[in-house]
Amino acid sequence: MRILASLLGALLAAIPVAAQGMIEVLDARVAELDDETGIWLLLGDPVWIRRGEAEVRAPRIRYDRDRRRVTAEGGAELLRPAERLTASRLDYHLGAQWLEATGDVTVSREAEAGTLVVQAPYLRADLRAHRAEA
Amino acid sequence: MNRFRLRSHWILGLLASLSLGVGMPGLLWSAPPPVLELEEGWIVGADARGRRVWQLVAASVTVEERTGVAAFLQPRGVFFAQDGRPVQFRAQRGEYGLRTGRVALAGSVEIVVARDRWLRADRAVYEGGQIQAERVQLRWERLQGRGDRLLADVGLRRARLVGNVRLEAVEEP
Repeated sequence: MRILASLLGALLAAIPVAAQGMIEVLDARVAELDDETGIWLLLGDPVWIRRGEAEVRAPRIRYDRDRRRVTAEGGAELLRPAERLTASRLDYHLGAQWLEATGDVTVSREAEAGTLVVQAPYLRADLRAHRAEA
Repeated sequence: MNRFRLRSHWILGLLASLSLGVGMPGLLWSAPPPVLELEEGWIVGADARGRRVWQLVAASVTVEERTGVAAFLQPRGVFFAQDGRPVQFRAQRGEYGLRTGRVALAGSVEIVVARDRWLRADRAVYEGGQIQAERVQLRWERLQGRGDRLLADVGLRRARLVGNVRLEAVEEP
C-alpha cells in the first residue's frame, strides 16, 4: 500500500493546481440551473464539464457553484493532458483541489517509459500537496 | 366579419371585442375582475384574482373575436413576477389568448430581468408565471448559456434548458 501511495503521488505530482477561471459545459442534453441553491444538474450522453486543461465526462454531473464542487456519476472520466482517470463516481473540489474517486478506479498516465496504470476501488488525492491514497 | 382591424381607433374596437371575449358578466360589479384592461395607453393583463401580471404597448393590435386572440405588432412591456418585480420584454410579434391567458412572443424576443440577467429567444410563451422559450440564449450574471428550449420562472431564478445545451461561467472569486 505504501508503494501504491508513492506511485499515485508521483502520478498526480504532475497535475498542477488549477487556477480560477472559466467553467464550460458541453454536449448537455438537459441543464437544470437553480440560482438560489447554486446547483447545476447536467445530463448528457455524456455531458462534459471543462476547466482549464481538465475535463470531466459523465452521464450525470452535479456542479455546486458556491462550493465549487463537481460530482460526476454513472461512469465518470477525468481527462488531463497525458492522464486519464475513470471511476464509477468522482467528486472534484475545485477550490480545495482534492478529488475522491470510487468504484473501479483506474488512473493512467503516459510517460517516457510507457503507460503507468494504477487500479483501486477507491482513490483520494490532494492535488495541492501532491499526495494520494488508494 | 368578426374581425376588427385596430389602428388609430383600436381602443374602442378592443374594448368592444373584450366585452364580447370576456362576456357580459365582466361588466357587473360582482363579477370576477377583467383579464384584460386598457389603462393610460397600456394593455394590461391580470390573473383570475385580478392581480396585474403583465402590461404592454404595441405598434398595432388586432383582435379576433372568433378565436379569442389579440395579436400585437412590436409589443414591448413588462411581466410582473410573483413578488411584483418587473421583467421587461419586447418582440417583433405577440399574441394574447383571451381564454387561455397565454402571452406568446415571436421574433427577436428579449426578456430582461436586469442588465446581467436576461434571455433572447426566437419564440417565448408566458403563462402562469412561467416562461417557455425556443432557441434560447441565456445570461445569468457570470453564466452564459444556450439551448434549444427553456422553461424558467419569469424572474429567471430557476431554469431548465433542453437540447444542445452549452454553458460558460466565470468562477466566483
